[in-house]
Amino acid sequence: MITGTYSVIRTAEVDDAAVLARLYSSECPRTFMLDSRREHQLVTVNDLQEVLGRKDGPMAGRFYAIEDPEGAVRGFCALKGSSQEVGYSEIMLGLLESADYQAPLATETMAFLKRMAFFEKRLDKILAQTLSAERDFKDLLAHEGFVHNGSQREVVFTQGQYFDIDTFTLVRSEFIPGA
Amino acid sequence: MPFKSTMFIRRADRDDLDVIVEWMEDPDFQRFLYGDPARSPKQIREQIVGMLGRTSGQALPHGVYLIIDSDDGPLGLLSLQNISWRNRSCSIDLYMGKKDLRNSMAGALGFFRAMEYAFDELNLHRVSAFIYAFNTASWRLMEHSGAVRELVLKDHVTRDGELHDMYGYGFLRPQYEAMREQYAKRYENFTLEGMLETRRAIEAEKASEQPG
Repeated sequence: MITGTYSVIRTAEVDDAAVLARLYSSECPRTFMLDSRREHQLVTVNDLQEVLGRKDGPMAGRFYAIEDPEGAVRGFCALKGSSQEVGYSEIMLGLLESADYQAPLATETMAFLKRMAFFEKRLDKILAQTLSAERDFKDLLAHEGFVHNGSQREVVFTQGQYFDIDTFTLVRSEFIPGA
Repeated sequence: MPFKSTMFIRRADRDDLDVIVEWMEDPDFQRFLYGDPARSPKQIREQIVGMLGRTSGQALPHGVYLIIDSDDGPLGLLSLQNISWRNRSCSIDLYMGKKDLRNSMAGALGFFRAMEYAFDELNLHRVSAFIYAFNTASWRLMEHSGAVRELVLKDHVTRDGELHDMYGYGFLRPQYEAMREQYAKRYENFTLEGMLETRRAIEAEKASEQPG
């Protein structure tokens, strides 16, 4: 458990499934909700309980709940597909309230993910992807020093329209000067 | 100008196993596309059998593996992967096994046939391609076709101890239709239907030449 001033980050548990399901039913389409084929997933609380209860698999023990100091779950995060072999990983961050992306809780969460990527896993780069509607997440990434690498046009179809996917990266040398 | 070519695309099947294994063992395949040089031929063979098994002719598959074939034998491998029927999108990999054809019209024609299949048969909306910066022939082919370089990932992949950029291309239906119109102006019968007519004529001619 990582206790900050504005957040507590801990491994997500089966009991978090109901809160996680709220993220998937959010009105704003987010990359957080997409599967490996970039399809918006329609999940149930039972599906999520099963996933969070798994003791093995690539995300077991590596998917985190973000609580505020009062103990309420405000969102979830992870580093997806990280391996030293490829040298990079993708950030997953989903917060229930849009305003939280600009709150100190988000800054502490990003610091946690960056430390894990660059110090613990010794990766060279972290990627983040956002849908065109995710202005709050884009603003957070810009604030955190991520560089925009481009927009893939009309990739995801949901809510009756296509959305672009924007890709951002942060390299090790920008996080640790001289690295 | 009438377009004459005996090249065609077809679904890969188990009879293609040996030739695909040979291509995938080639260091060029691992350099330009993917793969672990340390894998044994048996592992590669098992992977290909799995790939071919997943390509169903009837259902809505998530991947389609196609052979670029000709009267002189198979020339290359085309795969449409990560097919999303909801987003109507996929990603494409193209590998010309015959090295002397890599910078020739054959690669361009194979790509065009694959796009016809993706847009006119599978009714897709978008095809993506991820190409390493050193693979100049491939990204030039994409750009000549009208695909847009949408993404540049700096120092993304290591080959021979050096970091290289990776480009992401997007080819949407309007770009495909512009490409098709451009080729139709230049060549008669440059269509998937034209390719099938040519194949039928060749096969009928071969059948009539057989004794008995």
